[in-house]
Amino acid sequence: MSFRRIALILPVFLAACQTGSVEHLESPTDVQSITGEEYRLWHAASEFDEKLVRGHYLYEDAELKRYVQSVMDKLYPEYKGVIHVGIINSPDLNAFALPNGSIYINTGMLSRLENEAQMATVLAHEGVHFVNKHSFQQRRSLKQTSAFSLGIGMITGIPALGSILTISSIYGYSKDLEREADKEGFRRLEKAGYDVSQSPITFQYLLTDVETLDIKQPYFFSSHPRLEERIESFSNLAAKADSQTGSSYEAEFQAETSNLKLELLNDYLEIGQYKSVLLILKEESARKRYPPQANYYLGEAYRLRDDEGDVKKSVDAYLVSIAAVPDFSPPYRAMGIHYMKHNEPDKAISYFTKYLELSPHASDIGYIKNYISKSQSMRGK
Amino acid sequence: MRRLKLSLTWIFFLFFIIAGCTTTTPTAKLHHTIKNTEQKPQLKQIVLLPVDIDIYELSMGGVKEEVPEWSSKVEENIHQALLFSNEGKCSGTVHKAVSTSDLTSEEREILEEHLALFSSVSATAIWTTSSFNKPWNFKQDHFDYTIGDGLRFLKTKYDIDAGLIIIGEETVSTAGRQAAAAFGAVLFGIYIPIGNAVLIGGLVDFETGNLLWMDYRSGGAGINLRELDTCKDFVEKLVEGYPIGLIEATSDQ
Repeated sequence: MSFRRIALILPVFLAACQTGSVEHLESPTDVQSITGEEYRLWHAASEFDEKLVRGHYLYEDAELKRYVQSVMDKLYPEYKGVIHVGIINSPDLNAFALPNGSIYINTGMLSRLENEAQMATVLAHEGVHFVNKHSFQQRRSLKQTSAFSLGIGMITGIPALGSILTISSIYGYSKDLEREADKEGFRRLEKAGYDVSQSPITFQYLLTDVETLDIKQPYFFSSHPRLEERIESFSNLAAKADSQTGSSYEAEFQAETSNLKLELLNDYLEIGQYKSVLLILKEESARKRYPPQANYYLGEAYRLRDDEGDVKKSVDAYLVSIAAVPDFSPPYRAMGIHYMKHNEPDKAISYFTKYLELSPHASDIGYIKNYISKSQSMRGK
Repeated sequence: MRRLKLSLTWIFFLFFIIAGCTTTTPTAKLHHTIKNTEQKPQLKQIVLLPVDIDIYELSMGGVKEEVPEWSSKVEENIHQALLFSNEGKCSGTVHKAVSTSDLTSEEREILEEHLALFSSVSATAIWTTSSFNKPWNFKQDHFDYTIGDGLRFLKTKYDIDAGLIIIGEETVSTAGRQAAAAFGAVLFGIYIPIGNAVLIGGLVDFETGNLLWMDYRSGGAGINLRELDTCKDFVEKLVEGYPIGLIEATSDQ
């Protein structure tokens, strides 16, 4: 490689190193003066918002959305009307901030959390990414890194090296920006009166899920090293906090998310993730945070796992659900199927009949009537 | 009217097929029913549906981002070319632009969905009728693509027979990338793509949803659709095979 060639390629590196500082938002009105490169990012973010709406990716529960938005407004009162929270209908552990003030949290994430303080930890962290324009900083950094990579690729003659350098900076923000989000998000939590000791617990909780379920999605909140960084960061911040008092608002959070929790259990079973259901519900302390109908889903998870002893566990769980919520129909169907499979037609018919009585317009009514006929023909055999 | 985007997958796909090549060979497709003299549609009113063009800037390292003001400018240029040309190939292709403010919100949503469908259907149509795609070449003679009759309400309610759809994108490199490309080529013999443009046009019969005509044009770096004259020339090339004489003839019947 001649010096002449390197000298000629030097402008490429110098161009890559050009930086300009990115000013954080000082007030909500600053958003009105977005121009140039930053405006392009906002435009792309707004198009993404539209795609989420038109693709029906959002979880449509006005009351839950109002509640989550109210928590965000408590954390960022001066940005009320500027930061908009949306809930994405997905069981994945994810939350993210767009550069235009749209912040999204997945139903999977919401259902995993224990109280409002934990949810506020996630929202506060994401809010900083918006206020401090981390997306814009990251985009600038990406452009510089990729330009630098292009130069490296040219000199070494190995274009793949350049592209690896680019890709390695894509998932999540840089460590510095994430720590900045932790620190300033933590301040918001304190100021809003939340129990800050919940902040490292939030990520410990998520890490347990990631490890136990062997989650390998490329999302920030599913990333093992990223979660460990958050735990360390928030533990340090919590240890130095002036006050250890504050509220977690567990009862409010449970009331607002109880329907969602049951829906997520159903979603997990539908996609075969019974392990998630078992992880969530196997401890009695965790089950207490769920409506009693959750016992039916626990029963289904045992049935799907089908290890030794799981048949009894599933039946016990169905019966707990029936005792606690007698007019919740799914466990009756499950019991009917259980007895039909175990050649006890009278019991099967009894449970199927009760199921149809409680759900006369069920979508599987044809199947259930078929099961009843089958069970009737099994009588006397 | 909310903006639509060509599926990124299809855009890359199209670029893969036609990257670096300015198309000059005939690529216009006519629906097989137009070739059938007894089934020709009777078209009296043809509107220009909302144009969806995205113009991107490509940074030195290859980061691509849309420049909304450039996109708006090019869409405006295409409107100018098709609606206000008194001569040339563009003249007479459409009678007017569709007035989306006259549509209900539900109708606008249906229209947007069908425009999005066109981007998928057109990409498939280009793929199957490409000369290298031998197993699908029968589609060249029996072109029968459709976006369905979901836009029939435009005919029944607004008395519009057909609509011209134009979609596309252009990628423009920064000066830094262009310099890097020059360095790369001269010093290292490395090719660095610096941009291209593609427009796809389709004439949709609202009664049936059939694509009565479809064509595309692409060009390498250096085409600047933000300049009105350049854009007009490019659009003229796109509509070279437009069945204008045929449609005028049927509307006179």
